[in-house]
Amino acid sequence: MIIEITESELLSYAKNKKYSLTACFPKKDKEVYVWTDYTSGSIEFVMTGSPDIDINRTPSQTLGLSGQFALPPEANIGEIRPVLHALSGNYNAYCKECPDDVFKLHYGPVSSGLWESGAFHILSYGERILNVAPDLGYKHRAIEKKICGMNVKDALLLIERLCGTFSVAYSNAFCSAVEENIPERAEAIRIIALELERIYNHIHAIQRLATAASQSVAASQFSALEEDVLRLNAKFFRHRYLFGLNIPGGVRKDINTKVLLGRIIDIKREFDKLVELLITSTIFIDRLHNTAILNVEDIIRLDTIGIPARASGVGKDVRSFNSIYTDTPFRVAVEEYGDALSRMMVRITEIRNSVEIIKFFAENLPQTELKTDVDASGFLYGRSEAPPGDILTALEVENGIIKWAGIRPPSTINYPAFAVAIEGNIFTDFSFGIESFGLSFADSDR
Amino acid sequence: MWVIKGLRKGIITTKYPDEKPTKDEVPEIGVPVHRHGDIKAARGVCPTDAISEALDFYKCIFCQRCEDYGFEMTGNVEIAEVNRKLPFSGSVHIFLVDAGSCNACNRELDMLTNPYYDLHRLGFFFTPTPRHADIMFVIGKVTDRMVEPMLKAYEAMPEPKIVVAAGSCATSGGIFGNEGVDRYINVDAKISGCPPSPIGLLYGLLKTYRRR
Ligand code: SF4
Ligand code: SF4
Repeated sequence: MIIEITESELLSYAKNKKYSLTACFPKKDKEVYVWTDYTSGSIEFVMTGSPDIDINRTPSQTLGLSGQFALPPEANIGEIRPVLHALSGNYNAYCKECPDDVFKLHYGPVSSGLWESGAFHILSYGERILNVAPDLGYKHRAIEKKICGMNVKDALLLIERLCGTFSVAYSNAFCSAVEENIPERAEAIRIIALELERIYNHIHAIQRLATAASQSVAASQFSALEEDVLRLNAKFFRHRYLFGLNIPGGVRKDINTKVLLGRIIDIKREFDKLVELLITSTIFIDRLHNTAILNVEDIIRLDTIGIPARASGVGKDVRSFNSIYTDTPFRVAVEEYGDALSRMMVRITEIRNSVEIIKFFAENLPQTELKTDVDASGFLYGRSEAPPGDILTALEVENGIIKWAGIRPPSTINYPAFAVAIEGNIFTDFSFGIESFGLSFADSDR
Repeated sequence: MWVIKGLRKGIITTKYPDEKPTKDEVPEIGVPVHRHGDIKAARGVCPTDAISEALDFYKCIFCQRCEDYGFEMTGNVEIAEVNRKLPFSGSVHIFLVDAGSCNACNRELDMLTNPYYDLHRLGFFFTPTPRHADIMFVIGKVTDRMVEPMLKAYEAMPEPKIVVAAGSCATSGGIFGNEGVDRYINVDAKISGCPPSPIGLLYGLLKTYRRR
C-alpha cells in the first residue's frame, strides 16, 4: 500500500541509512518513493508532492524518461540520495562544470565499444578521468506507459522485451506481482530459468572483460560457452532468451530435467577449466585489480544494488527474501574489495552457486500442475534478482487491466554508481569498469 | 596455454551454409505454420496481427500463442527477404545501429562472432565507423532519440550501401507497434525473428551478396 507522507517525513527517510532508495515513480501529480531495508527485505511505498507545484512540471526541462517528471522532486533529497536523479531521468544533474583546460568528450550513442545505444559525458585531464555523467534515455520505449490499459497477459509480452537478456527476471517480477499463489512445479521451473539466465549473462560479462583485455582466445572460449548455455535454453525452454516461458499464473511448458541435469554439469566442468586458466593469467588480473573501486560508504551513499554492492561487501540480494530459496544451496556471494576483479569473482561464485540451485530444483521438481488462473486487483508489487541487480515492478491493476505501472530496472541505479567508480581511473580502464558492472542500456532506458 | 585450450576443443564451427543447420543450432521455435482449425481464433490471440491470409513473418514475434489454435511452431528460422544486393562479394563491413532494441538482438549479433558461427570466415566484419561500412544493420524499434543518430550514420556511409533491418522490431515494429525502420529509411533487406537466431542472421546476411 502507498502511504501519504509530508515532505519533512520524506526527508527523514532519506537521512535514515537503514533504507535504500529503491525507486521513484511518477503517479498522477505525485511521486511515489520506494524505500527498502535490505537487511530484512521490508519495503515501503510512500507518496508525496502536491498538485500546487504542477506549474513546474514541463517534461522538456529534463530528459524525463517517462515524460512525466519535471524538476527533481526534492532538490535536497537528490543531494542526500544522488541516485534520485537517475531514477527520475534527470541525468543532467550528474554533469559537472567544465574548466578550460579539461578535455570534454561525449561518448556515444552510436559507438562500437558499447554494442548498444547509450552515451556518457566524460571529463578528463590527460589520461585521468575526472567525471563521468551517464547520458541515457536513447532507447526509451515508454513501456510503463504502453502497458497501461492492457491486460496482464498482453503486458507480459512487452515486459519480457524490456530487456531481452534479463527477460526471465522481468517476467518473474511482473508475474509475482499479479499472482497470489502458483503451482510449486511452475515456481521451480521459473527458478531454473532465472538461474540459467544468470549463468549466461555472467559468462557474457566475463567474456566482455576478456575482450577488453585483448585476450581473444579466452574471449572466444567464454563466448562459445555462452552459446552452449543459450542452446541449452533453446532445447529445454524453446527460446534462446527464454521468452514466452512465463505466463501469468504459471509456465507454458514442462521441462525434461534428466537431460538438463547432464548438460548443466558439462557446462559447469568446462566453465571451471576456463576460469582456472583465466585467473592464473596475471596480465588479465592486473587490469582488473584496483580498477573502478567502490567502497562500502559509496554503496550506501549511492544506494547501489546487485553485483557491485555484493562485490563491496554489502550482500543485497532479493533472492534471500524469497522463502522458496530457504533450505536450498542458495548463498549470497560477497567479496570485500569492491574493484572490477571482485565483481568478476562474485560472478564466478554465483555461476557455480546457480548450477547448484538448478541441480537442487531439477532433482526435486514437485509433481503439480503448471498453471492456475490469476485474478489480480489492487496495488501490487514484485521483485526479482536479475543478473546485475534487483528489479522492482509496481502495478495498479483493476480486474486484470493495468491502470498504472512503475518499473525500476537495476541498470538505472547502477549506472551512476559506475560513473562514480570510474572517476580517477585512467582512460584505458573505462571498458574494464563498465563491463565489470554488466549493465544494459535497454534495461536502464526501459 | 589458451592456444592449447583452443586447439583441444576441436572444431565446433557450424557447417552452415554448406549443410543444413543441425537441431542444436536452431531454437525449437521458428516460424509458425497453420495446420488445422479456425484461423479466425488464432487471429484473435495474435498480439501483432501477423496472421492474415498468409503469415507475416516480419510481424510475428514468436510468442507461441497461436500454437493453441491450430498453428505449429516449426524449427524453420531461415526467413529473410532481400530487395537489393551488394554489387560485390568478398569482405563486407557491417555497421551496427541499435535504434532501440531490447538487447537480445544485440546479443545474437555478438554471438555470431563466437567460434560456433565464426562470421569472419564468411567474409563479414563489424566496423566501428560508418565510413567503412557496406551494410547498415539496424535492430530494435526506432525510438525518438535514435532517429537522428541513425540517419547521420547512413549519410556517412559510402556508396554502394544497403540497409538491413533484423528482428520484428526493426522490420515491422513488432510488439511495439506498426512502425519499422522503413518509416525513416529505405530498407533493402529484412530478417525475421525476435530475436533472429544466429543461423537466421547468417542466412539473411549471405543473401545480401550472393545467390543462394
Ligand atoms: S507466434 Fe505469436 S506473433 Fe507469431 S503468429 Fe503466432 S500468435 Fe502471432
Ligand atoms: S526484435 Fe525482439 S529481440 Fe529484437 S529488439 Fe525487438 S523485441 Fe528484442
